[in-house]
Amino acid sequence: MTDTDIRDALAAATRHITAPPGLLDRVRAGGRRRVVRRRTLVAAGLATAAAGAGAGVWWGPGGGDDVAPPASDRLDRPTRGDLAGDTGYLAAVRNEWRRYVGSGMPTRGEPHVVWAGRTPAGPVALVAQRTRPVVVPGAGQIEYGLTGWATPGGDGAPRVESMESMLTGARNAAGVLAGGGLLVVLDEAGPVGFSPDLEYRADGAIRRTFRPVAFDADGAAVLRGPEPALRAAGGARVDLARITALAAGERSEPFVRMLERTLPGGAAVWPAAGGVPDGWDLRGVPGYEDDFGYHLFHAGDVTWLLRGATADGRRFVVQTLTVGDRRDRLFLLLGVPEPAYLGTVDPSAPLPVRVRLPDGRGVVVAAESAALRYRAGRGPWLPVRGDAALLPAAATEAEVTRPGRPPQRVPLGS
Amino acid sequence: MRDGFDDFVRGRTTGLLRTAYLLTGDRHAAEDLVQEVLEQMYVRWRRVSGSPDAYARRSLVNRATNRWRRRGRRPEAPLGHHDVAEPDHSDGVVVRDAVLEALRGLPPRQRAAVVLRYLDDLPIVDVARALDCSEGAVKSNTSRGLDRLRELLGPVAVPTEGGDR
Repeated sequence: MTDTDIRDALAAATRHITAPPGLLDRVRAGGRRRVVRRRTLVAAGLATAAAGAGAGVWWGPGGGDDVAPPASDRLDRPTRGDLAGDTGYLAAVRNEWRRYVGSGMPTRGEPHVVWAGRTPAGPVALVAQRTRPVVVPGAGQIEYGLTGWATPGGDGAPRVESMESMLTGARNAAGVLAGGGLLVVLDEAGPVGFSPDLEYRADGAIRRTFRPVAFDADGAAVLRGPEPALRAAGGARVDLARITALAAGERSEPFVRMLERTLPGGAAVWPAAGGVPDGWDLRGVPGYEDDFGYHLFHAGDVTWLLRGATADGRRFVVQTLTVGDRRDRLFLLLGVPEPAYLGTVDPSAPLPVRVRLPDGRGVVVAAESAALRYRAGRGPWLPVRGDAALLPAAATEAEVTRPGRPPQRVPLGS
Repeated sequence: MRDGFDDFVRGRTTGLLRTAYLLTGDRHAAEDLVQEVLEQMYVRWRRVSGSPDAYARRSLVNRATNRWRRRGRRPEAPLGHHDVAEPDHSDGVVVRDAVLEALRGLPPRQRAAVVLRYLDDLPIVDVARALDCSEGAVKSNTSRGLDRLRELLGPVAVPTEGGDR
């Protein structure tokens, strides 16, 4: 074998490998988790150091005092915002922060309120506090503080939304989603654009229009929109406290589950290991996900990815995408990875997925955890295996029985 | 703050995955590895954005080598369990299995040297940087690795993009 043959062999052995859909999102989320570094990791570092183990996390001799903490706008500047002089509120924020941080954390000095201001949702504040500097050999990071946002709780008193580590060279969440589509953001992220809402294009992709954010004299902006989004210069995302708290696992709010099913006959044309090749999963296609929006989902929110094959051997995907607005977008990719947008569907409908394939190729149906039956005209009801199926083109009506609910009949059109 | 990171991920992920696949012999492990490296780069982007490729390669090789050491105590899972072929690529599957089997028989640094030289087409100096060794060591590792691969892959016909050779 020549060197060229070796090159060809290695190339041939990897030709089938392509980037999986959604990897960039997972990397971003994972990267943010690493930046955020949960307090359990700090606690683990404490335990490691206490045990005298060399690996993991260490402080320099003298308890880290020899490691000069970097200058920080959050820690070194006077409190800003229109509540900067409200000593009662600032004290309440500091007390809530101490309660949230708890004991056992390597904090130093008093918590500092970086910014405090009035918003339509009530008073909001950003807090930061120094910690003993931490060096992580593998990551080469120096951790020097903790920071977090406080928003009004149910009783109006401040409630800490999340806590993040402050790492050298890393930026912390520049804002907070205060609920009801209200966003508070500081100018730490540099110039940013704001988009209050999104719209769906005729092809089902997402369109957003951003306008520059005007910060007030204290470097803050209060923004509102039903589906808010921020975009920093260069097309970067702007992290918000509530979102980073979710990514770090500090919060356990609902998330979207993707339900993936291979319909009977589909196993012959799709990879047995699951998934679909590039271009067939729209989550990996630019424009179809909301790259800059902040969405809080409802319990039970799901999307579908149904892989199947028609009787003549053509493969297809029926997929839904959601941003949690109860207007799930429905797509069909048939034969080639070119999405046909079929409009929005109500995810709470008895049969949220109902797609009649062209040229009499059948009807794709799906309803999570439901027992399904169908019939043609006045014919007998025929059972379906599983909660998703490709029904014959002659099917005119489906019966959907969700656990604990009475059967519901849904016309399938013609 | 992370200007260019998204473009780097979009543009380089497939290449990194292919390298990781040959280094680990396991598609899922390769995806985990690449994701881990990219997450690390996300955190350190300001520092590594000057030469992200070099950073990614070095990190990938180090992690793959360590992983191989950790897994050395137990046999590798059969590839067939992880990586089921599409039915219309049977020639490709034969080559893939043969290449992975052959690479699996090489010591990790020989494997890395061959993959970086012949899959990534890196010059020797860049391979040396990625492996943190001398150029002489790269030449020696590559040469030994190639000899072994030639032995094992000799009978395998390599299909090209346009068809079989």
